[in-house]
Amino acid sequence: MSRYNSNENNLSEISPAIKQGLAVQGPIKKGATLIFIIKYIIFFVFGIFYVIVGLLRPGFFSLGNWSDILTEASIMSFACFGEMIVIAAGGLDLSIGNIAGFAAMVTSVLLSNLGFGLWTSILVGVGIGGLLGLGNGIMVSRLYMNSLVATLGTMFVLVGCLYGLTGGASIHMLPDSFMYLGSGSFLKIPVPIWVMTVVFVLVYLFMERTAHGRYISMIGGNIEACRLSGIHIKNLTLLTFVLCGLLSTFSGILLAARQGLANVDLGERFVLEAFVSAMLGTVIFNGKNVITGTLCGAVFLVSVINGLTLLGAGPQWIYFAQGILLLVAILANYLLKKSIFLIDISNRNQ
Amino acid sequence: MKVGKLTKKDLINNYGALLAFITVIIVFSFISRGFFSGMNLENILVQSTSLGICAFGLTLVLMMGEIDLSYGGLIGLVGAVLAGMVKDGHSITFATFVCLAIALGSGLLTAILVVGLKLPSFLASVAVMFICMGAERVYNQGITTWIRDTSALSIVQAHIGPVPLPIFYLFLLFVVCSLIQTQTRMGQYIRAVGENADAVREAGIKVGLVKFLVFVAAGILFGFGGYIETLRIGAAVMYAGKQLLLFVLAACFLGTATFKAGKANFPGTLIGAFFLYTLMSGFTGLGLKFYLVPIAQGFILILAVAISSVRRGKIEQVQF
Repeated sequence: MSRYNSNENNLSEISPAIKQGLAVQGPIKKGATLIFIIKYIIFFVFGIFYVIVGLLRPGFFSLGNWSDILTEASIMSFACFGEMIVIAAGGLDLSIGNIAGFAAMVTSVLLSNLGFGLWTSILVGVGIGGLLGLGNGIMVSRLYMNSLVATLGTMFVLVGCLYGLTGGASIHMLPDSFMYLGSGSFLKIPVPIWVMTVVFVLVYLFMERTAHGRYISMIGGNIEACRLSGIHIKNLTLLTFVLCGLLSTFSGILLAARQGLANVDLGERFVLEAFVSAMLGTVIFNGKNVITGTLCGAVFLVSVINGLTLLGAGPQWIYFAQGILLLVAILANYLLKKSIFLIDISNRNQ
Repeated sequence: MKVGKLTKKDLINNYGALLAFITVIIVFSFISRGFFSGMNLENILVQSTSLGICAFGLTLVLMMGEIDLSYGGLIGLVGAVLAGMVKDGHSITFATFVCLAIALGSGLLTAILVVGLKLPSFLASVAVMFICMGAERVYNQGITTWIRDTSALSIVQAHIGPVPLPIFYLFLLFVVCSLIQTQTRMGQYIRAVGENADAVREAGIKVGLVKFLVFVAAGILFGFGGYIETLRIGAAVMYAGKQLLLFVLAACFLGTATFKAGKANFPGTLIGAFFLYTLMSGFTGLGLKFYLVPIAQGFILILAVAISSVRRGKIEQVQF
């Protein structure tokens, strides 16, 4: 008992210091500007980039150019959302590009070669994506395979299936009603942006406002804690892969509709782009609000490529830009963690 | 560890991919025309050299519980610089040293990012891959460069006695890597860091230094793989690394299912590399459609890894 009391006494002696520390923690006085800059460093970097491009090439800020950028980013964003959901649960899906390409190919074959209706074809395409995602999910959650290997295997199989479906040929004869989805406008706003808005709201509400969505983020944070608190990890991991499969088909089908043709390597670019966007997404709002962050990441990525092209940099700089963007994103994340910690400590020691 | 009679289940769990490999070879020998001839087997070995050498580099990194995907860009960059320099009339020795310097630079960059700045290896190496791919595209302007200098080509396309040089390089590196891993203290540290980095740190071993050296060594192996690939083909194809990116990963993961279930190891990686090209060669000999090859490779990868991971009983997460 006496020992307990002495502890209590000690605590009361320390408490003013703790109080001071807590008071400082609220509105940080010293280094607040620095933290603010580092927190939103991505926005600053892009702001400076936009100003430079805008000054050199005034066409960059035209409505037509931004409509193009946003349409491109919208088409890409579905795959990015899917990858983000999987990454949030601590997995990785390498097969999204091929799922997107395969769904687009199946839809196009049904539409042009077999004469199916528009919505039936799209539904079949999306359904196949869901099934492939289910396959990935079963491999990861029930056979305990590393998601990298499982989706790599799916990717190999799908490459074969894509070539097998058409013998490597592209499909051109797509009906106008299908092309409208990719290149048409509704109320002067391109259709892909409408679709993206609806899907974004749904995914945002699911990930941020429902229990299941929060659990998914928790699994990525600390899987052991989730296991101990009785969250059904297996089913939720399965769900992330199914959602990823479903979402990535949107990207593939809309891209085919925008290009007016479906070719075998249509979806290939989505893998790396979705990965970079998702990584930017986790950093932009400091690990919070990842879905909005991913959307911003997709817009940033497309606008950088667009801006570089306007500056006359040519396609060879695109990979450079992606690599440096990724490095900036992870370095910002690193600096943020370190500087908040250091400034916090120095404030407390005053 | 219990040493006892090897049950049937243990055999399938630990050597599943190896058994599958032997079965596939036997089946192809009977049904695929011209498969089991010295010439064809030699071709399979020669084709899998660059893949195998890059996969050795990745195996080293995987053993440590990290990942390095920078080879996806580095292979292409080394090839482009080599072909470009030979074409411009530089001597092959000088070109080789420049390639070595580039590989060393890429390895150092990855090592600094991962060990020095403590960035997650997956992300850091993907960024390095992008930078290498960009550098390659800027250097060769997206054009395939052919190498016509015979003295350069003879480094890889010549024979020692009856053995083609690439096979010699592959087995030499295999022996060296295996010996380093099993016989030296450094090799044991690498495996130990992969098992439990904290325990190794507590034991007074510089984990950072071990990781740094492994990333640099992996960079050099990737560069050598790209060097061999370019001279074997006799041309620097654009984004050569992008094509090998998935195959190298697949070979390493097949390797994890071949010996020592679930852990990266050199003999397994070697078998994995051969396996991928054996399927390609056998299917071609059978006159089957080319698109069946990736389907078969994918299914075998999934099956082999599923068998060795199903008893883990826990979802494995990717570390970023």
